[in-house]
Amino acid sequence: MSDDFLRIDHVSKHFGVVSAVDDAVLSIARGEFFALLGPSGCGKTTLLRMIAGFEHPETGDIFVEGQRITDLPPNLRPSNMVFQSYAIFPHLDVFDNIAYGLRKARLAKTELARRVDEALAMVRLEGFGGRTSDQLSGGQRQRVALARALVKRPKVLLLDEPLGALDKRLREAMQIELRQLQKSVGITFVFVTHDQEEALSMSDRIAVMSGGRILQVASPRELYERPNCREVADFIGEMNFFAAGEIGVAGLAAIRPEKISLSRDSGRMRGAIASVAYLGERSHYGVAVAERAEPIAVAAQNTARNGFAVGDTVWLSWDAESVVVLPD
Amino acid sequence: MRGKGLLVYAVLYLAFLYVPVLFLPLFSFNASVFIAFPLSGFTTQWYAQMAADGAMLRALGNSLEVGAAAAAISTLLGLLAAKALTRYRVPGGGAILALTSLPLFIPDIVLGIALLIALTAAGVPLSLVTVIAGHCLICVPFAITVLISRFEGFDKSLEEASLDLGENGWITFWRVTFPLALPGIVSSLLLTFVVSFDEFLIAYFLAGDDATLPIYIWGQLRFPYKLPSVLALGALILVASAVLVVLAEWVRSHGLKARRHAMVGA
Repeated sequence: MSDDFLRIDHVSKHFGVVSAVDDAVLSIARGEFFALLGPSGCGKTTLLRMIAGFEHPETGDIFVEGQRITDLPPNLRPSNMVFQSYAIFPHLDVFDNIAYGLRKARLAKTELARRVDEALAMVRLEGFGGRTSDQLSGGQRQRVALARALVKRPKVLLLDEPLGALDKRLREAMQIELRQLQKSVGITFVFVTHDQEEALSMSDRIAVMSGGRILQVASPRELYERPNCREVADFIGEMNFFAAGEIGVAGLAAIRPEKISLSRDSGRMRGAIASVAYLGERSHYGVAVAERAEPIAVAAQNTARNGFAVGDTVWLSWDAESVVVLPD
Repeated sequence: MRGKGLLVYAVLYLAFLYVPVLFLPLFSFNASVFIAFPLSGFTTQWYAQMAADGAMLRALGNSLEVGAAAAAISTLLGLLAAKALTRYRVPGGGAILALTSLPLFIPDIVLGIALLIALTAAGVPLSLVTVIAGHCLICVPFAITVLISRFEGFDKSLEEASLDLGENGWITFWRVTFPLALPGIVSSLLLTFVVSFDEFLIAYFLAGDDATLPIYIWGQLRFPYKLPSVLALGALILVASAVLVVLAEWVRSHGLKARRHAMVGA
């Protein structure tokens, strides 16, 4: 594995006065499933489009396998893209959509058909070659877009919110399928999403972006357990923040709700249950603590005998290693 | 009753629109120079007279030529403008669109006189070429309008997908943009052809010695015995227009279908 397979080297881009991407530095490994995660307008799509060649960085360079591709037009780049809208050509059937990018390869008819059928089989759409885009469901259209890009055997597959247009159940099924597909073809996937669960469950590594800047690049676990700043901690999952000194830490500290346990007898901090949300296997509590405006969020597994009610006095405790210290 | 009143209105409106037009073919087969009831018998002599009228056929030929050229040129220009305005960040795009649309709002008689003065001052001889140029001015706004709405009707990531799959801009135009814009291109060609074909004022000022059909017909109205053959020609043009309208409608509805495909999932 070369760490420098896809390298984004101090890339910046403005739209008018707005900084879309601000000095982005990334190194993506061969075969990695890499997510660009952030709220809308954070610059993740612009960064993806710069890798594809649809936007040109004002400063900085992009390299694939050490080759500078910054000035190459999209049609000469070793990447292919799955568009958010899927962009299935409406005037062509599924077969011709998938064969679209193979024209230049000048394959014999049988070889072309074999490649297209292979791609259809890969996304489990055997026999769909004769359909047009309006005869496909959203999920099928997404598979066609995937097949059309993968049939080109790109070095990098770029996916722009690939699951955004699908309903929740289909999205969850496609997350697993996309992940399996990526492992089986071994192509580097770079995908853009605003959905943190999607990013956490699918990716090898994630770059969290905000306001055009890359805040942190890490594995899902590390991102969740060791966020490097308040913004990342806040964006990924739920988090309780404690001001300097509040829990005996010199700087800003943070603890995840599920890392805090409740007890009736003893603990580090005393409070009163202010709210209860029962969610079946677990409950979310809001615990009011003296001299603190915001209640502390606690997520506890429900057992037969640990239920708390609003008004109950409780003690909160946590392990020292659950405390994340953040820069102010 | 309100429903009945509306029905009467609708019938009257349609009658006013279509009955006079239908008089054209009716009287073109009437065996009398005078256009009046009662009809005095069936004849095809006016069609024969029309076919033998060299000047009229020449005028028809001129109009077809001017219309075809104006339609082709203005649609090509409209295509380029629509592509630029919908696909690229054009500085001052809105202003450009407004400026090219101006001929829609200037009375044709003003535009005709202004062009005549300018062309004469520049020493350009008046001919069908100057008519074509003048007609392009008034046709381009129609072409741009039709084509912009067509371009906005399909996802621009379709063109990006083609680039992404390895085709350059030129091939992308032929493999994606052109087939998807085709219904708009055909609509634009038909519309601009019709605008040019029946345009009178600008042609009148810029035609020089070569009359287009509207100018020729206007000139013939002074001679009552020539009127029936004008009716015969009018009837034929009517049939041709009907065919064109049906054709355009077919293309349009076809285009709508393709557009629905293009919009799905966008």
